[in-house]
Amino acid sequence: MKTIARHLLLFLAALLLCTACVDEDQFADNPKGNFEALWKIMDEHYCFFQEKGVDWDSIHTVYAQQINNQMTDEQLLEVLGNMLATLKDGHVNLFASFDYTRYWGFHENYPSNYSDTLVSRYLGTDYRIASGMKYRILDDQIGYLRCATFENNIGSGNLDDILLYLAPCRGLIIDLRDNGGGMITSAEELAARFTNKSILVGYIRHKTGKGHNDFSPMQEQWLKPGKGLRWQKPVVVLTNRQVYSAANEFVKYMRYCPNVKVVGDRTGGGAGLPFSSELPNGWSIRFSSCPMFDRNRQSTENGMAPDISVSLTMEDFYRNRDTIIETARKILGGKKK
Amino acid sequence: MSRLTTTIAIAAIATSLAAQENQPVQHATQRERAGQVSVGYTDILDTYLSQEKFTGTEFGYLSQTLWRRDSSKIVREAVHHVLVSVAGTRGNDKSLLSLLYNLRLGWMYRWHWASPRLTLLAGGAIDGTLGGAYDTRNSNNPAQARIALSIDPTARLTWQLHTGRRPLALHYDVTMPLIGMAFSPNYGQSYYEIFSRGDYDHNIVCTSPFSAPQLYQHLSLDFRLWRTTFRVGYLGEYRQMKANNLKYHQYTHSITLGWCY
Repeated sequence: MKTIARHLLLFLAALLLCTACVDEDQFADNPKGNFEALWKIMDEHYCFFQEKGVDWDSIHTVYAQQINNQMTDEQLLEVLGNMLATLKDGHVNLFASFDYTRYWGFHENYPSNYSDTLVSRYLGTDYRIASGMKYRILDDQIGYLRCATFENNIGSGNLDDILLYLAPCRGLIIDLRDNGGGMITSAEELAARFTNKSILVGYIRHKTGKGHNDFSPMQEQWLKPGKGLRWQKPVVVLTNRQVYSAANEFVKYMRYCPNVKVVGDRTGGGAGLPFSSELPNGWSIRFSSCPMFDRNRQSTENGMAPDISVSLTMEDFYRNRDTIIETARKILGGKKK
Repeated sequence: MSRLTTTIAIAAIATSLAAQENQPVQHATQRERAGQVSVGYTDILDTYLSQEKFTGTEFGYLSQTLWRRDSSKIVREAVHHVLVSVAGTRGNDKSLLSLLYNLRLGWMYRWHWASPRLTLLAGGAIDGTLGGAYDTRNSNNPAQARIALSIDPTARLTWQLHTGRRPLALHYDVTMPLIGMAFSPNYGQSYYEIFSRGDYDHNIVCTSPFSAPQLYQHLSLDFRLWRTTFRVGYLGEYRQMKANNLKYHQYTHSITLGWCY
């Protein structure tokens, strides 16, 4: 028995020798340390280096020269923000307590093609609101659904009520303009009401390692029919450059649904599901991590073109008419306002 | 008739005695139970959530039961351990909340020496962990599930001694997960892909001392006070895993205080 005990103790000791610390080097909490930490996080986790054509090593060379340990937080944030802006990605943000860096060139460099004033004129004051979406029936029997965000959960019962109320309409306008995204599951919930069968809408994959091209195989994204009331009539989805992230995904799904036209300007994109991490000084970094593709395996990171490209005209604006809504009404067989 | 009655009576008594002899002998079971609360310092790294380490306070409750039949050399053990930790990084206080439940069922062989009064228990255990961590600052990677099942070598050494008239018992418990399975997301895989879409990618990984070197050790002292046996000790837990290019560790050093009943 003593021999067995001795062997057991030796075995435990051998196991202890196998034991090694699972650890990660920590960068110093100073400007140089924070710069290196940020560069490394992006280097190992960001998913669009190839699509964007960015040589991240050369970016390090350029921006490391601009960092010194005497910098103020404001100066550091500015340099780090400039470095991140080379990625031209709206999902890349560095959050400090006093500001956050962003790249909004995907919509700031283009006409907005959206006016609150005009939309308010179409909605009036007696519109309904459910799951954060405003809706009403326009006077030519066209349903109008204003979906400004996917940040809220969209309830199945709410959708049933909305679609039942709009059921007498000859067609439906879903105004997605300026929708910056939110929960992808909400986008799926809404899109699922516009198909009667499962349809392949795209692909998604994720990083499997630190290399810039370490990705999993593309996984199919299927849009399954919603369980409640489903819309069977024509639909027009209105888009502009601020349709981003989950809203961009919604447009991707709707493009493959029957009787759907996309009208307006190109969407903003944002086809990388964002992850977060943190720098030694506590600033949070958000970055694209899981790239998504359409069903032709093309990246939608830079947005999608509409079926019918329309812009707001100044002439219509001064006549209180929204050119994009009016185009949609024409397509759906309604009358001009 | 009388002879027949006597014969039946003798036969009945003999049958009864035989039946008694065939009954299994009832052995007494020795049982040792202890409940302890713990508080300690924890150091957590989870590169799925952040590259920064989280440090903070961990609170726990540990229930340990050992039982053995008088005639047996086999001791069975059941350990329930609940851990709650609140931790933060250098830049953000209290940004990580963690909850773990650990159940360990062990079977150990007992060796006993009379002088000094030492008892060694050594054997194996089935070890299951369920829980998760939540990072209050993250977007699509806000949480990490911790699900693991392993087979562990385990040992316990007890030294019974006296200081004056006071009986004391010093225990050292050690357990090391040897081989098992654990859940891990892939390197950049979102929980949306796993749980909303059902896209799995090496999410169940095998664990061994090379990929998940872990150690649990507990040094404790039993002493009598006010007719109660109290237990005070040090608990060291080193949970670690490398899987799917992700790193995880949770090192905790705690003081435990409890009682035996």
